[in-house]
Amino acid sequence: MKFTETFANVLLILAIVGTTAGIFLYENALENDRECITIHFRTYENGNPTPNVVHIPNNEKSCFRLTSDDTTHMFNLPDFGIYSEPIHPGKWTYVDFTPEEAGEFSFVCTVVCSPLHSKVRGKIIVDN
Amino acid sequence: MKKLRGVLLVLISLGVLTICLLAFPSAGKAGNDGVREIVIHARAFEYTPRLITVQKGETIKLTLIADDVTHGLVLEKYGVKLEASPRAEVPSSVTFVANEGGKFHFRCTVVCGPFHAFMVGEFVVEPYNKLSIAWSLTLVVAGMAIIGVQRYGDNKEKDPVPSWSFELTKFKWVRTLLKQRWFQFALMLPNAFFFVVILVAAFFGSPIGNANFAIIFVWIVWWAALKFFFIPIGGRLFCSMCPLPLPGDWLEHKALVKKGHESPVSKARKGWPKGLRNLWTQNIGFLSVCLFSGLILTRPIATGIVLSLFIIGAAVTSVKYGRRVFCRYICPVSGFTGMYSMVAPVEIRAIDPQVCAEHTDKTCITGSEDGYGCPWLNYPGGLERNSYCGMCTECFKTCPEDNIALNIRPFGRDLFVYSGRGVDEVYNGFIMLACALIYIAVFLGPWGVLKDMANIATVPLYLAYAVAFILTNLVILPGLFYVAVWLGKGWAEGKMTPAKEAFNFVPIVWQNFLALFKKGVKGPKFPKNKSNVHLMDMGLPPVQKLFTEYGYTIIPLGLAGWIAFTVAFALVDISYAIPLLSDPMGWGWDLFGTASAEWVMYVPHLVPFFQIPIMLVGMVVAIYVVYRIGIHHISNKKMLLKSLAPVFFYIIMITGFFFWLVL
Repeated sequence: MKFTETFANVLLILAIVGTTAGIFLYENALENDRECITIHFRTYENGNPTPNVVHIPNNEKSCFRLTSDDTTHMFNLPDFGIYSEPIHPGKWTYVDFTPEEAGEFSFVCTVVCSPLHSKVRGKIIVDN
Repeated sequence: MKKLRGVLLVLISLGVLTICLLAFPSAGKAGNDGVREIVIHARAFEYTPRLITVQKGETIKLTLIADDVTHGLVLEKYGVKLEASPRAEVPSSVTFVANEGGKFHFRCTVVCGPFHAFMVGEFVVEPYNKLSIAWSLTLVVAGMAIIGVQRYGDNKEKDPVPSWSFELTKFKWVRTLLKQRWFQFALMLPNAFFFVVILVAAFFGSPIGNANFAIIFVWIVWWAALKFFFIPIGGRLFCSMCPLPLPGDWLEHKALVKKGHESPVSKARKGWPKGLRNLWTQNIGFLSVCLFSGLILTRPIATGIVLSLFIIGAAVTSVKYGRRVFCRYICPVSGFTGMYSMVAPVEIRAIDPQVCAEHTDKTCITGSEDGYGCPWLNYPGGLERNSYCGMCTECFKTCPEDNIALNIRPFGRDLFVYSGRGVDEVYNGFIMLACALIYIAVFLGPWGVLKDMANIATVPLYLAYAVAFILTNLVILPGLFYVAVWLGKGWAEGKMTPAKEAFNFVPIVWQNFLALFKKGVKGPKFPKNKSNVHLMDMGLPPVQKLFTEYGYTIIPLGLAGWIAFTVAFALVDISYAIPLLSDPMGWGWDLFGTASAEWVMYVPHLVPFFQIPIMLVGMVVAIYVVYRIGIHHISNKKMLLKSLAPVFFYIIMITGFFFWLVL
């Protein structure tokens, strides 16, 4: 009985702590391997794209992994003429480009996503 | 009697005639030669027009215009797909020939907000006649059922359900298994694992409902399993493996598998307030959860909060009162599971009541070194109904005589057990029935305003919804049934019970309700039931008593309604579960390679062919149940039929209303 009890305790701790830790560790490992920068698009009312300011290196290929937390958006970096495919909630859209100029650039949403659609924006800083 | 049978026969023939006429409709109006253009405006969460009617053979050009955010549209059966963004330069349209008659739903394909999965419109290709067929069928089947129960279900001496039961614990290995202390833990452990995934997903996963394990696996997968399998087949089977009380159990027992500390049964029996030893806490709890279902079913975090509250509630009551006071008296899911479990074909019962009577130690109540006294505060030796037996199997362990059995039995036997009944249980049945009907309208219907209400788009809308919701649950549906019972009794006795007497509880309930808001004021008490007096002067039992007895007919009807409702959303939404197996958090994982599986509807056009028979079976069972309950109380056949006639009418109307909502 004592063995069974210990065994049950171990199993339950594994189920609770092990599962929780496993989920975050796995995500952490995946994130470390990801070459793309994840941006969650949100409407202006929901807090705008997060993270809102992204640093990328100059003259190197950068990749963005985009998703939406509410409705359909689209990523547009006007200064570089970059457009993404529609970013659907719960799905992933990828866009990559190579900046050839350092500085601060705004990215915006090009699909009407809420009454305050025109205020959806974020910043990409190309470091030297 | 003869007259009634004649009327029924006429009704049946009329119904058959209508079915024949409808099943072979004359060819529909020939379609125009040209193309019929239909523009659909989409906004979260409604299409305008929400109902489109065309003639079979017409060529249709559908154009989708998004008014607020990006929406899509897929038409059942035809497979026509559109997607549109607001202010699009080129409108999204498609042309097709409507060559298949019937009613088809079109649904949004692009997540547009919390109620996205419930954004639907209706596309009717005439000739369409499922509703008329279903209504005629309802009349025919109800008429046949009413004649049938009189002919074949009339013998009071015969058991309403066959009296056989097959003892599973006769097999030695089954009993040995159930007696293992690790048995329940082994059932709970996998569920605990899933539950942890659910909680992590709810609090940290994607906020998009259909990209989150918590929403889809709780409200689609688990709920469908509960309604299709666990409740109708297993009764309270899920209670035996529910992981929610695990932390509370552990706090109380300080052990998982071995027999640990046990609080005395008196602590729970005396601790939990006497006035709450009924289903009312669960009824109110279920209603409160349902009032926020628009949030809970669509926002992972809301699901997480509700489930956490369940765990905390279970833990707190375990420490304060001991045992499963939470499961028995508080858990809102437990309330209706218990009521519907009366229908299930399994039961845990004492084998020989004499053995229990002679056993003076009653270890099944007090506990022994082999197990805990009934955590659900039952006396297992006296179990007659499944309602409050959580199937935790402790009594198998504590009974030194092996006098407890797990039986397979015919469906529905507990509905004819007359002890232990109460208006609290009947109300649970009405609340479930009302919620099923309201949810069908809110979640499966095309009405955007209902979705806005449930989604708390604005406070006034929500308040209107809440008031209507509570009134339907607590006043309208049970009230109409009460009136039916009152009318029936009046007809049977040849004189109506004065309204003042029949509705004498209304002012008492009202004053008690008002007393809730005044400090130190206690509402008046309910008068004691005087049923015996009435039985002696050969009349029918008083209206309130009849209401409580006949009310059990709502259980099979409500269960059928829930199963039929669940069929609809399970077939449409279950495919969301496939990508979530690989990506439970919605973070972009792909554990098993299924992450990119697209949402598909499984045979959505066949849904009515499941729903109609399920609902008709529920109606027939309800008619049978209420008839047999009637026989138990009223021996005069003429009076019995008269008193039941309005109740039959109520059952038929509910069935018809259900068909109107879903077809």
